[in-house]
Amino acid sequence: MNKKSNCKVNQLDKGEELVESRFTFRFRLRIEFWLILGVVVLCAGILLWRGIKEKTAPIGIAVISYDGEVQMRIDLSSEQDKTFTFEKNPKVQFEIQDHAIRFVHVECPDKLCEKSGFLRVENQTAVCLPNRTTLTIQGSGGEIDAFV
Amino acid sequence: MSSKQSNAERIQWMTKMALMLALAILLNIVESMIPAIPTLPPGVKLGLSNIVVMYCLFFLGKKEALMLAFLKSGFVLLARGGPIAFLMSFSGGLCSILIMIFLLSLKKRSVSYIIISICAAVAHNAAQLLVSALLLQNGMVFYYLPILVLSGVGMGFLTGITLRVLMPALGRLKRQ
Amino acid sequence: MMKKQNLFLGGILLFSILLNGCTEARQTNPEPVVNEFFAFSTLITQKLYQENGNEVIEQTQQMLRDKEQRLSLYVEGSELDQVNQMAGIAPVQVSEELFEMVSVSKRYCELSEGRFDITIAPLSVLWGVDSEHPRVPEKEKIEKALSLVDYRKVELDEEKQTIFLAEKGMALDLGGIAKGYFCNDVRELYEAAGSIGWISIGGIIYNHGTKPDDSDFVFGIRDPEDPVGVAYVGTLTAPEKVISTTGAYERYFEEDGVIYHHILDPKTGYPSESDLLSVTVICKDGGLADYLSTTLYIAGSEAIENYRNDPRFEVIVIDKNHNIYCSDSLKGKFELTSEDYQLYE
Repeated sequence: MNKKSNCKVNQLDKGEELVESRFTFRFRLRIEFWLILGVVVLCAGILLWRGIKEKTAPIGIAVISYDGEVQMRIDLSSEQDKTFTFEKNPKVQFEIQDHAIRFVHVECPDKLCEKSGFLRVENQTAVCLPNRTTLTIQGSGGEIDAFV
Repeated sequence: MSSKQSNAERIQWMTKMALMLALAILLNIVESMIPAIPTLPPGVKLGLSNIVVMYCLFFLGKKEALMLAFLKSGFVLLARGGPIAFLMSFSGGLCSILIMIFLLSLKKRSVSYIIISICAAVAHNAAQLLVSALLLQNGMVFYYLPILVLSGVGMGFLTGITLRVLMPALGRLKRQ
Repeated sequence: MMKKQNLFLGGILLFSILLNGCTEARQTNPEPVVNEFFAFSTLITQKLYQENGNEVIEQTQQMLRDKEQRLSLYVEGSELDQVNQMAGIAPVQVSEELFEMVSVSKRYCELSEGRFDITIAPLSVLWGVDSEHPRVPEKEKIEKALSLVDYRKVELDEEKQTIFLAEKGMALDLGGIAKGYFCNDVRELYEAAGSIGWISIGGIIYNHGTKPDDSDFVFGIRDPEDPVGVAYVGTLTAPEKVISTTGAYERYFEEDGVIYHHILDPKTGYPSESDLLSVTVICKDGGLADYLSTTLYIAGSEAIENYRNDPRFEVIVIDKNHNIYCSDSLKGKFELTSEDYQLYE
């Protein structure tokens, strides 16, 4: 009997230990704090750098793939705002606005694709798994102005 | 926890577990009702339920915490998203618990609860990112690592403080 | 503490200055303006790199829409429609613009020995080439329509500026030349407005000026065998010229497992059975480019040699064996990029 309750008590004690040593609001500037701060600054830096890059980046080419095969390549700089879909899968619609493109009005259970929002910069990607459709931005490469 | 316990204790334990599970699930649901912010990848959870998991780990034990994470993911599987969502939830939960256990076991220095909470949240996000990379066979998702780390730090901080603030109330509960 | 605060604020200040600098750079080069609209049953796209881009786009739109009202085969009451309605009945007096268009076109018909024929309207309408529902007509109907296709029966009176279609049922379709022809008008407009940019009228492109970074506009020649239309065989620059490409892959439909494309042969009444995949003509004169790309396509590879070195224009011809024949003067302007095709020397 005692043993059992002892077990439980021990656990309780451990909890109290925790309370004492870890939950006291003493914010000592230990190495862990600096480590985490360093990581935070690094990440924030990356995001800011990306933000700047995005402002000055050339407008890219949106590539739409279905089942792994490229279906459409759209030069975002030469398109005006519009909404459209594509032949092989009319359940998926895209919207182009201000040189950015996104999934919109898609028939799928999770709508994660739509929630990815507008893609604009190279390497940004959005996927609709149920519809096997991928939307990604490629660097414009600057080459072609239009197709004949 | 062993079979030598009396029935009363067992029931008490089950009740606590059920309560925590319900709470964790509730927090999960509440989180998902918040509309996704465009810049964040969808599926980035606030991690509110981590408060419950942390409490469980600190005061009930490792096995209980693991069980909680598993059950929580199970609920996700059944009621909400299907196998992929389950995988995401469980991998995140598992990793964050493992990290917490590791940090707790460090005898030499007693790691502050906030640090633990932060590490748990970041580990949770990182694990989910890894799993999605594997599922999509695509490394592109790591593009989102910085933002996920930042949100992990932020949310970890908040959940840690919340737990601390709730401590007195929870303590009362415990002693019953 | 004070020092730290100052440092922090200083950092923010510096940072915001930097950010501002970055956005400034973007404003000196105005964002190109892109516009799309429909006219002549086709998509017209413009991209202009200049301050008053929107105005020029408006003007161009208006000009083209106006022409459509007067010169389109499918607009009831248009000048062209009136001429067609009076076929076999009486000559119709027309505007200078239409008259000139038709006389130039008739000359092209003669030059091409009938491979290009502006009286092909009965056939075009029968096949529903420009419509949403193209179909394969019955043989008898095709033959009947064919009998009405004869450019020689178009009578022009220069003094009175009249056009008379000699036989009832005849009709003019300027679709094979209009798009390129109007590029000439667009050139004038762009020239007057000091524009920099390009326009695509249903795939026929005219480009004017050089880009802000002093480079010429670069265009991709579509790979005729790419079903999706994203691949290209090579790149082309053609400053201040019109580029017209004709190929079966552009528009086609399928009926009973057979593919019918939109380039009708005025002599057979059926889609041309050319041995070419595509023909691209580059020329200052848009009407010539448009007519020639269609005609050369129908004429096939046997005609290539005659046209490769004509000083008035340049050609890029792709045959079914994936050979690309280029005019010599295109050296340096056309660059092959696809491995599936080879330049024929």
